[in-house]
Amino acid sequence: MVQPFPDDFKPVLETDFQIFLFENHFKTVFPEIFCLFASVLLLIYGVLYARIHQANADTLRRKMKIFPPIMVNHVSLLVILAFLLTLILMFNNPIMHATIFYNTLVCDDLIFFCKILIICSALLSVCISLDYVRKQALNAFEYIILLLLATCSMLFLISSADMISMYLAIELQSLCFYVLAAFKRNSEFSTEAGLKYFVLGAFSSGVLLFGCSLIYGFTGITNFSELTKIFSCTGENQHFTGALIGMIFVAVGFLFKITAVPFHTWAPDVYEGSPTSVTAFFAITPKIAILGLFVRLFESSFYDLNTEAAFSLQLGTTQGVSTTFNKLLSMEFTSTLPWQKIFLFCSIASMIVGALGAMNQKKIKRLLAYSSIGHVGYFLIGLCCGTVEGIQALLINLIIYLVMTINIFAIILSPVRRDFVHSVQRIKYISDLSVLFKTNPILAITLAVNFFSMAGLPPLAGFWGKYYLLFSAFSCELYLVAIVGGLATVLSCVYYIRLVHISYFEKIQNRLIFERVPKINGWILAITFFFILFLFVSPGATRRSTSITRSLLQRIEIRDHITDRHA
Amino acid sequence: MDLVKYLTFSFLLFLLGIWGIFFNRKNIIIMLMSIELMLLAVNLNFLVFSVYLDDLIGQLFALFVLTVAAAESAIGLALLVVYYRVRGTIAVEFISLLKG
Amino acid sequence: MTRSSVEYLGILIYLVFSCALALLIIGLSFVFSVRKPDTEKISAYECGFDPFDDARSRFDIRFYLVAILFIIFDLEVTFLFPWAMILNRISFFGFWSMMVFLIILTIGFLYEWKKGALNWS
Repeated sequence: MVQPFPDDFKPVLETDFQIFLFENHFKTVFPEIFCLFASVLLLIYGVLYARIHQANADTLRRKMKIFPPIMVNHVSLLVILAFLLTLILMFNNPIMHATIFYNTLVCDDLIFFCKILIICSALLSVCISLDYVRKQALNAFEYIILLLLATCSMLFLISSADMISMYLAIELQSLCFYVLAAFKRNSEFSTEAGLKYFVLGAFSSGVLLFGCSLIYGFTGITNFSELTKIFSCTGENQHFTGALIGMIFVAVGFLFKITAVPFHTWAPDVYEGSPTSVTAFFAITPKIAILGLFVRLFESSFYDLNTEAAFSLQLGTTQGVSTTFNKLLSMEFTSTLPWQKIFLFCSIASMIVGALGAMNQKKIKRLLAYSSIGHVGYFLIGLCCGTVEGIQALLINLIIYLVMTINIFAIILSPVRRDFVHSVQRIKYISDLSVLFKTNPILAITLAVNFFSMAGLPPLAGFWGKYYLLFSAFSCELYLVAIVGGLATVLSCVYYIRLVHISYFEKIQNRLIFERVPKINGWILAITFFFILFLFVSPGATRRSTSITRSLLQRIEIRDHITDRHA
Repeated sequence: MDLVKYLTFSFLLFLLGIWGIFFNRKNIIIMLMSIELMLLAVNLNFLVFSVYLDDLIGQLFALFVLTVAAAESAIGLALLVVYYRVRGTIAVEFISLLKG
Repeated sequence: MTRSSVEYLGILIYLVFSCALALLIIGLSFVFSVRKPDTEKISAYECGFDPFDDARSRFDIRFYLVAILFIIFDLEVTFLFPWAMILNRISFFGFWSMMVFLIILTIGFLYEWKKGALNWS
């Protein structure tokens, strides 16, 4: 039997020196801690004051038959304030590069960049949905606090450097998401979306965790940087087959969460069922967080994990395919590393399914779900390159995707009035767009330009994102994925242009009128429209903003150095 | 210690969980139970590896997984209650409002 | 007998003893109880009526809610137990980190309470 604590056991936290170190650690994650405490305090504030407001609301409901929202205004403004303060704290953080809390969290430039993107996207998606939340029956302040909590957990997710912290962060994020998806408690669609999301999300967490356990078991390590060391120092005759299977499980778990193709089936349902403001949040923020984590997990930790085991895909021998294509396939799938194979496959499949699936959709949110699946395919191109150009292209594309998606959701969240219905509604079907040009021509132009940009037509922002991605794929000789990417762009043009056609030339089928866009949505629409339209003046701006990848470059150089030395 | 036996067992439990999620046509409570089964299989895996490697991290991880699994099942039950209130059933065959 | 099995011998004895005691108590009530069954006594008792439907039908949904609320507070023990075992080895830092955890848990409890989740009706 092993004694639980030997006599010479020295607790690590005993000396003042260690505690002093920990104080600095807390300073490093101060923005996250602020975010967490803000959400907890707002929860108390909300629940204490909601009862008073509840009483007022009850009398109003009895006397005047109206349903005033309870506490939503105060709390959402306070949450926006909390986001802004977190941004300020983030920019003024004195410690930018650190590995803290016994190697469980890490901060560097790439992580800083992704955190800023996450907070911005969460902030913008709260801003564009203020009006929706106010007028729809989302009659609870918890909604907005859950958004804050989910954002906070994503900040932790992106800076996690250990499997334990990664798992805890992603679980907090998913638990918030399940509740958010089902937030319209009286709607059959929303609760069903929540339930579906829960079952598949919990399944993907299980798969992810199984992968973590295998990696832990076959290496004895849960830390990312130590995994880098152990995989880069393996000799010729050491094979980590168990760890490779674990890595595949981890990748599958995460690919479930970012709706890459073989694991995408839940996404259209959940996107359609959940409240539109939540869909806007789902479409952007988790993707940034998980792709940022992917960069660190797969471009450094699992980068050198390679075995000659039976896992190399034998795709080159398929009969009935032309020989050049065969050659391309075999080159693509034999010369790459194992993790690259997974992402190559998912990337190609996502681009194709995203383009084909969106073709005959009737509901606008389903269509946007397929569009985001297609975009995930493009992001994965940047990831599977495994080069600094690829990562840079990925980050540029994330910025552009963020702007475009915020823009399109700001349009969808703008209020619409139907005939014979007194309440304010939102557009739901694609055919609803047919009145857009007639009732609000400026909104129609914005929509058209945004869809052209998403399709990747040359002078607009979306084109530059795809340009950088495909260019980086060509530069590291991933020809197949680049060609499929180009073809998928052409395919996706079909349905984007169909939408523009509907909004301009189709005969009006529904009797509805676009109302005045709320002020804050108007501002956000204007800014994002300007960005999409005039990015071509200086597309290098986004590229410069991602120059923070240079620290990553250094890390990759160091990694290559280690590999060379041990080769 | 024969690692392979333990791993086979926990892998079978995990597969049983997956099977319960995807091939169960009765009701959603069974799905929740299958999810718990998956997480418990993972926990078993962690504990076996922890003993095998003589390393404490695995047990720590298992403890966290246990807690998170409880929180997850709480949220799952809550969603189930909300769903039942709206639809009046928890049979799997009726979860088909959202289709493309 | 190996050393490890000796170590668990106490538990075995305890297990056997507790099982025997439980069986003994149940058995005694069987032996000494006076039983004179008649039709009124063995019929199901429900306010004097015959039962309306099966006793194993569905539960009230509020039981589920209470169960959900209980799960979370049940599991804090998982963290409290190892913490309590080594409380003398970790300094005040360890103490206060657990206190922060408990405070956050209490806030959750406060939220539930104020939301009225603990009211039965």
